[in-house]
Amino acid sequence: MRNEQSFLDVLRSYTNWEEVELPKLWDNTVDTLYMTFTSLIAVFVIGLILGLLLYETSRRSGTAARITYLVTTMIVNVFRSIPFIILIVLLIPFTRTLLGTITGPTAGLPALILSAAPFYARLVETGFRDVDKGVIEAAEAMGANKWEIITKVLIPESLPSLVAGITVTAISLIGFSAIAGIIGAGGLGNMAYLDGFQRSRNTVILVATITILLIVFTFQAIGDFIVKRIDKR
Amino acid sequence: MIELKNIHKIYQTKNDNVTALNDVNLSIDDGEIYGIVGYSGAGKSTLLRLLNGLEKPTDGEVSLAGKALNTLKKATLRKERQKIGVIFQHFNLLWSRTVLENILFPLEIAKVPKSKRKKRALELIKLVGLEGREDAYPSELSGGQKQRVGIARALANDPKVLLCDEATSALDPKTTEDVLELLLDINRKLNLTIVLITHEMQVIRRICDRVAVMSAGQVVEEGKVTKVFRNPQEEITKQFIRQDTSADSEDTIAILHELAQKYPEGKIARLAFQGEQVRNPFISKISRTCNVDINIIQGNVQESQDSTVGSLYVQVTGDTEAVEQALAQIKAFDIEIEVIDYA
Repeated sequence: MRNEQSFLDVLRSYTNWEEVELPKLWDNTVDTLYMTFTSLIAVFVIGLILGLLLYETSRRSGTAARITYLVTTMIVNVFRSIPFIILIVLLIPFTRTLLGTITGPTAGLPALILSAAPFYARLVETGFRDVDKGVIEAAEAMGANKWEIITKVLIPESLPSLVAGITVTAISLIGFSAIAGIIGAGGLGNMAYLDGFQRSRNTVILVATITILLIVFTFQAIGDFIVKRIDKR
Repeated sequence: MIELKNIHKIYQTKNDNVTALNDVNLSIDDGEIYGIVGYSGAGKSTLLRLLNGLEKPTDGEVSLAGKALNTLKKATLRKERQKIGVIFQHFNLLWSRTVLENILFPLEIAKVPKSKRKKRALELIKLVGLEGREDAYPSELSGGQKQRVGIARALANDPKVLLCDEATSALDPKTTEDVLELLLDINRKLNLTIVLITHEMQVIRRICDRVAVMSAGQVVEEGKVTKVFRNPQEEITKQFIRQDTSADSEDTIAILHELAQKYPEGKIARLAFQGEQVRNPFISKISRTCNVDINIIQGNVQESQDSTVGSLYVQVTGDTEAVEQALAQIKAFDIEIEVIDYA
């Protein structure tokens, strides 16, 4: 009987809606979206360039290409392997020098970008590799140069993979931004931890969770929709 | 139009060198359809890739329309490739582009002004008979339609030569026939030189003027298609021709074996004749004059580009001497004869 009572109390503690301050929820949602979008754009650009570099150098046999490939692979693997929470503290001095602060949403960006760009670069490389070799040969036979092959063949023909990859990356960035939030970068993770957990307001944690879920589902739905629209295979 | 001189191509692998082409010499005239036939690994794909400079010979000279392709700089070679159309076995269309956009692709690469591109592409769509399918994606087309897009794309920049890399090997017989018909049509309309490689002898017979037979990196036999079909010299050429006349189908082989056992004294021969000879009633004549029996096992008549080619499998039985005499007489009718030992 006693157990049942306390269980109900716990459930009730998640529905004290007066704990939630809507303007604060809004601000934090904006911070999370800001971190996600800003880092996503940077990750897309850096990942595309790194991915292209990996793809191009992996196929060549020259010494310079081999070295570039090995170095790029090493950097990508190292940054992909560092647990995000450690990467963020590792980068604190760097962030302070670069931005003059280690709190607020912008301070979360260097760690977010450095952890996600190598991950996306690998997805880009795989996407490029899956492009039909015959189509590339056809373009070469028509006299296309390297730049034309990249912009007219590689990218358009791998676009569904690139979009699906950026969707996955965006979702992991939302997760990372929550971790970054806990150690001071703001956003919904920060709200759940400081406002919710540390002040024993379970409803705030629940609302932050639901908001994050909504953002993730929205990203996934948009990503899936675009992939479906552009994939004519 | 195309001149290959003393071509050698050697691929270096870690452990040893692989000779893909060994002293190949070919000369292809303006406006002709030239076929290169061989089994996979014979070196024909390498040869084709030399013709648009995607491969360079280890030794020798490749000249196309007076330009030595093996000596050109990369940028010049790219420019040159815009004037060499290629169609592929697996079509190699961009799935992300519609029919129209696929045909616009080579025009974009050749920097044709935007205003002229679409007009040209629409002309080509009409030429290959794909009106109404401009906005379809390759995934919505049949194999034959895809190859038509491939052909239109290859013709976009008015090429000097069209290279066909096993262009009909992925198509069914009916579609193959249609695509060959289209190639022949284009060859006549535009006086376009076509070089095609294939392992299907019927493709050579249907549309080629001349043929080169390749084996182990060498051209082992070369000449006019009608001549090669009537009087093949090399064993591999005979194999290809037999495959085309379908005499080597399971059924025929079984029958030939059976007959050879039943009448060990008889001789089985393949007769090849052409055009006017079809009218001569030589079988009944020889049967009468030489006192032999002639049993027809299988026969067919096929169209080639400029005449008809017939082949007939017969069994000649009778006295050994009479049989020999009969075979000699058949030869006297100017009919190619090949005695086959199926026993």
